[in-house]
Amino acid sequence: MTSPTRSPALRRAASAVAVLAALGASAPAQAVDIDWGPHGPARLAQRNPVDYFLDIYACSVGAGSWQVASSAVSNELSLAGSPVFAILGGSHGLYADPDGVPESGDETTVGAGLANFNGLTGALSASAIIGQGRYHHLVTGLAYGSAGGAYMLTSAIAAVPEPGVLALWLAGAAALGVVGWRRRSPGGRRA
Amino acid sequence: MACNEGQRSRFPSSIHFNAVFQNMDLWLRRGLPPPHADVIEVSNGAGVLDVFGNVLGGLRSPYVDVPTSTWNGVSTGASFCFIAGHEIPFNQARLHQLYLNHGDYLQKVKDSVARQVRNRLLTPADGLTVTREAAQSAIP
Repeated sequence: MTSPTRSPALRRAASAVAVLAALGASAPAQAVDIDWGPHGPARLAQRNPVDYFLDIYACSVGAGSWQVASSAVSNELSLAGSPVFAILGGSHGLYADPDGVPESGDETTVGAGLANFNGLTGALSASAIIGQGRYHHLVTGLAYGSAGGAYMLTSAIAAVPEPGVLALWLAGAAALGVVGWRRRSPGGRRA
Repeated sequence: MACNEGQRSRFPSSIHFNAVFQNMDLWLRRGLPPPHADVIEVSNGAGVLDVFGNVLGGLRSPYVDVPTSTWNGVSTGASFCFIAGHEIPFNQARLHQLYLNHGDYLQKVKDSVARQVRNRLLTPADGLTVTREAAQSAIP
């Protein structure tokens, strides 16, 4: 263990780290106001045969930047070559919806936007960095199996560090690096 | 492209090609037979028109089932005008005759889209595009 009297440089560095940590702690906390709607982390939806569906899952996010990653998966089930569960021409996308009213006309594509299922089975992914506001996932397609079709929607969201927070992290890491370097350097050791 | 009748038609023929490719893919790879559509009604070598001046029969879409324009498949003039076609938008009075309000128009478009997607004559993705285009319009 290093005693405080033997390492004033370490004390100074520790103080700097403490100050940085305090600054980081005093940074305004990001408001978390996330409502992923009825699908929660994952949604398994089953549709009736020959049902053209257009499912919307609304969500809203608070201040800050957020990384959203979502995917819709549809696996075809066939018996004797005939589709039992299948979705034809499925699409999945993430949209900004400022007024929070789906299909009101103010929706705009966000990030990866729409992608199409390839035929009757497949997985679609969308990823985007979004800011505060209202959004919705949209899954559409034609349930075409004799028993309809099914898909699973999953989505995850994570805060993207603000530039100021990132700078604090880097400064803290740099301070720790300096401390380590001084401790290892002969000139840096104090008797 | 400017033809004698004005700007070329905005009619998005790509929606029908997309449906064709979707159905051909399903047919070839999965053996699902493609859907049938009515042929265009013809009399004395010319297409039979409805009260809006659009042809009867053929591949249907909200553009002809919930019309806001008269669509002409051919135009006159230089270059490719003969296949460019042109559009004669309905005036405001006619749009108000046809549709009570924007919600009424939008609902009719949605119904038409659902019908064509179920018949596999419109892809779900194009159905969404058409619906959103209608939602963002100021019709009537």
